[in-house]
Amino acid sequence: MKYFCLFTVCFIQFGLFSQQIRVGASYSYIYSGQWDKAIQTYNFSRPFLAEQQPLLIHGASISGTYLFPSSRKMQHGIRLSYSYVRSSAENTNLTNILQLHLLSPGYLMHWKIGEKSLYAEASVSLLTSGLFRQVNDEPVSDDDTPVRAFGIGGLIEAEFGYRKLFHARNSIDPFIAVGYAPYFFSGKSEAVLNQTSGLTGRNWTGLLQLKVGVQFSIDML
Amino acid sequence: MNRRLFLKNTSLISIGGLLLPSILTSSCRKTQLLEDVNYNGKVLIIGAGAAGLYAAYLLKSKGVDVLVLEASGSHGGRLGTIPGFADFPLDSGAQWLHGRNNILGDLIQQTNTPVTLDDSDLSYWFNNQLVTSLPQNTAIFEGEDLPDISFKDYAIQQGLGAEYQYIVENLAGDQGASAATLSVYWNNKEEENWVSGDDDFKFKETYFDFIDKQIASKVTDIIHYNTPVTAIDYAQDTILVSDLNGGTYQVDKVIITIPITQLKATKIQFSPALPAEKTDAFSKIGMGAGMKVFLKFTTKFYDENIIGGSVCAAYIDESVGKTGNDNLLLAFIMGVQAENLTALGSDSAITTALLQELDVMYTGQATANFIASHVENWTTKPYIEGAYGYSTVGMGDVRKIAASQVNDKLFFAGEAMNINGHHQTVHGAVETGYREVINLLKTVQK
Repeated sequence: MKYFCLFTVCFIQFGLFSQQIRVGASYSYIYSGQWDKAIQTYNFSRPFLAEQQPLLIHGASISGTYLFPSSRKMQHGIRLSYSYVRSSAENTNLTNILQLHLLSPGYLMHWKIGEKSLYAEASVSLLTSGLFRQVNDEPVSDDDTPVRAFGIGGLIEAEFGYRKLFHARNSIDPFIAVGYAPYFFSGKSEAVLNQTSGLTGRNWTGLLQLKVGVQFSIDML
Repeated sequence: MNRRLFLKNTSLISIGGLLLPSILTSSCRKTQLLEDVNYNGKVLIIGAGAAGLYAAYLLKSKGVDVLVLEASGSHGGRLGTIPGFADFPLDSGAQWLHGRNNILGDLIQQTNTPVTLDDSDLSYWFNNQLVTSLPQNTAIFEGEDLPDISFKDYAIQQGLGAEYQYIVENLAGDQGASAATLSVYWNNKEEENWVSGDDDFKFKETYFDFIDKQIASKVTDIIHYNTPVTAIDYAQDTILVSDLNGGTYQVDKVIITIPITQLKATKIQFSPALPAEKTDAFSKIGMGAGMKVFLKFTTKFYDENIIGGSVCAAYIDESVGKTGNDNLLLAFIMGVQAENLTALGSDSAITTALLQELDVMYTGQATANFIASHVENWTTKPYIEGAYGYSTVGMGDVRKIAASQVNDKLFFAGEAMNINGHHQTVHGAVETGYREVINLLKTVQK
């Protein structure tokens, strides 16, 4: 309850000084060549597993955006996004689940295009990840230390959306966003995905993320 | 742009955005490598150890025409069993699964194969007495900025006195080496890639039984036993392989999985000769002497692990994790100690030397309770002639060169060819088996 109250107070405080606050949810599509290769190698090398491990592709994202007040056409703001991608393969005695968490705090620039309804955003973010493996609902551990991989990189993202006002200050905004992390370092990801290190490829990857979803916006000023 | 037109465009973009993932997924993001490769050529695998068996199993499962030539009369390589010596199953070769986060860990899980964690207690023979801990930390061989000198020299440099000589010999022996030849730097650097886990597991049956049931049984129909390969002529499009029995085989690709000792000793003549860089890489990968001696006693007078003997640096209670009543102590002997015992010339002389050392440790109880012994000397075993590949002083990053393919025709696998830190292990050998199948099929895809 105290966290809820704290959140509400912060939300109101930030809201009082902001131009706009948005919260969004979206479908998230992920592409990483190195991670694909590691999972493809895992599947290729284990013919004893009838059910193949799906690639890390489809997930869900949520985000919160805060636009600073400005009278200019271009505004700027900050955003925090979280994405979750899961891959599960159920085989006899071996249910293997991969879980990818992506968190990206970032800075954005916001433009209104033409009339007020259409907007574009460009952002740069710090992208962090946690990649985990579970076997039969238990985290895989090495001498009591969970086998997991953390990652870090920079993300550039472009977003296009349309503001559909349903109230003077509130809108539902469908949007599409494309983000790319050209150098995303995740040294132990191969250890989680294929149980090797240095066999399937390098310890960094390019990461592409596509989001399609909606945001709920509140204009504060 | 008016509102209606904009809405129409936005709808199209949204639908496109939703369809794009499935289009991308179905068109270019396959769930496994090389799904579109349908290879009709013939593949020959030399050696039916863990790497060769797994490569054969994998190729066969992909519908590739494959044949395995094994020099000895049985498969498994450095895996094997000793039937009848004890009332529980015994491994003559590799017996520990080192960590479960690896391909064989998955196979164990999937097949519900029983394994037990080996967390037996350590004792040290130190300053002529048995102790449970050492005064100085011996974990000095791991970390940053280590020099490329031997374990032996580094121990002296770090102030470990003569009383630590056989403790250090045991650390090197774990890597299948002598303390005088194992590189502190390269051993540590190669182990940085180790990801399979630090726990050791023992099989309720044997490691050999597991590999035999789960992998070898699927390919025994394509193994030719007692067929040592003597020559490979890869000058033409078709490769001509000759064996000691006068047989010849015309194939398109060859996967060579024989131990590094056999490659170093040029037991197979290549025509044209292998690149000098590659043979040089072979010569720099170490593979020392190794033997296992099983000692059966009337009573269990010994500790679970005794580290630091001058004749044998590691005695291990073999009954841990097994179901049986026999009291069996394994002398796990590597490197210079295995060379010294091999030089004694007979199994009985080896057994006597070990009993004498145990008698000193346990005041005559070894000889008094001794029933029988079984010596498994990997140093003298034909087509093996050693324990497992280790990192020598000054070797450099040569495993990649040693493991590299030649002319898209010759592929090299086996534990010593593992470039991802899992050399010296069975699962490491298996990894090289599937790695080379991938490399082989990629040449076809080209």
